[in-house]
Amino acid sequence: MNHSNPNDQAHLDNATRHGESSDSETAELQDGWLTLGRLLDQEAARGFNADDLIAQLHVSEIAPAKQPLEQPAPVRRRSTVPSRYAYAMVFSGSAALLLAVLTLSWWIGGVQPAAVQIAGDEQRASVSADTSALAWDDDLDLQMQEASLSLAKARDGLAPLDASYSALRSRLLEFEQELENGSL
Amino acid sequence: MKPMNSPAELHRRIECWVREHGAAVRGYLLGNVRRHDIADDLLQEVFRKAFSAGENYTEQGSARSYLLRIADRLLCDRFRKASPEINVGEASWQVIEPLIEDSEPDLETIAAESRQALMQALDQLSPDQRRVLLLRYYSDMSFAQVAEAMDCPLNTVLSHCRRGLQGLRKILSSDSP
Repeated sequence: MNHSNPNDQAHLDNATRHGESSDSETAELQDGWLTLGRLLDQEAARGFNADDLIAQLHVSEIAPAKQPLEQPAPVRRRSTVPSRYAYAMVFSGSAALLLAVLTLSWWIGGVQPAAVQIAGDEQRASVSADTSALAWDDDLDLQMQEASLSLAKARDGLAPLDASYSALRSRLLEFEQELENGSL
Repeated sequence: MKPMNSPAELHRRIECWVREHGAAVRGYLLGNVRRHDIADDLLQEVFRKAFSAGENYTEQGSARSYLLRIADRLLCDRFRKASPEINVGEASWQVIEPLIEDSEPDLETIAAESRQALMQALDQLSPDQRRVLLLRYYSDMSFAQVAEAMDCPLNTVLSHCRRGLQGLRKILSSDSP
């Protein structure tokens, strides 16, 4: 139902205006519309305060001239990022705790830190004494010398065998030569 | 067509508009959103926008129509963005919008009855019918201007108006408080 004519528009115009309507049907339509408006006016008037609204608008942005021109004082807040001081405190605290634990463990184990220090010094002294007593190991040289001598002796023992082998080899070569020549 | 340049003049103009048209714009917003808190937020936004556009504002029609156009655009933006709303009952409404504490019991009863009648009437109307009828009630816009503000054809506006009036006649003419 999307038809419209000037009479229809005039009829609706009369039904939605603040004044006397011409006919009863229009007045009936107008009555409902005015009643809705009156109810809405009552509801809108409840809790509405123009001064409050103006004040809110001034606070927000309407009246920038009333805002303080100077920069507001910075608000002090607890920082969520730990400072270097906090890091140093944590580090020194953990170091102190570690030292305390070590000291306690030493005391419980019956070894005092001073005694440990002395024992360490003595140990270092004994080690240095041992290093000064060290000398060249001659036994190893003797053993190597003996081994080389025995090797030379063994080679001397093998020499006659080597000579006989050579004679045998020359004989075989001669024999082979005769076979090839057919003089055998 | 007198452009406003002075900030002081602009402030005075806005204050004057708040006093003269604040309640009407609030009524228009309340009829569409049906919640005082949302209507108040939108009302502030209307005057803030009017202030922002103050230097570019030129008097072409009435100030109320100008403010109602801003309100209507804000409503459209809100309806586009907002999730579907739930109509609450009278008990829940009392929790959301408690009555003024200083009011007398009789006045409270009358207010509650009026509110109930208003909610029934608004329930009868579609959002577009509400816009047409309330723009006609609160402003002096013609149907052609309403159609321009709503960005729809004149025949559609007239159709919304006719159907809205017929729906209201059923409800309000018979049992108005």
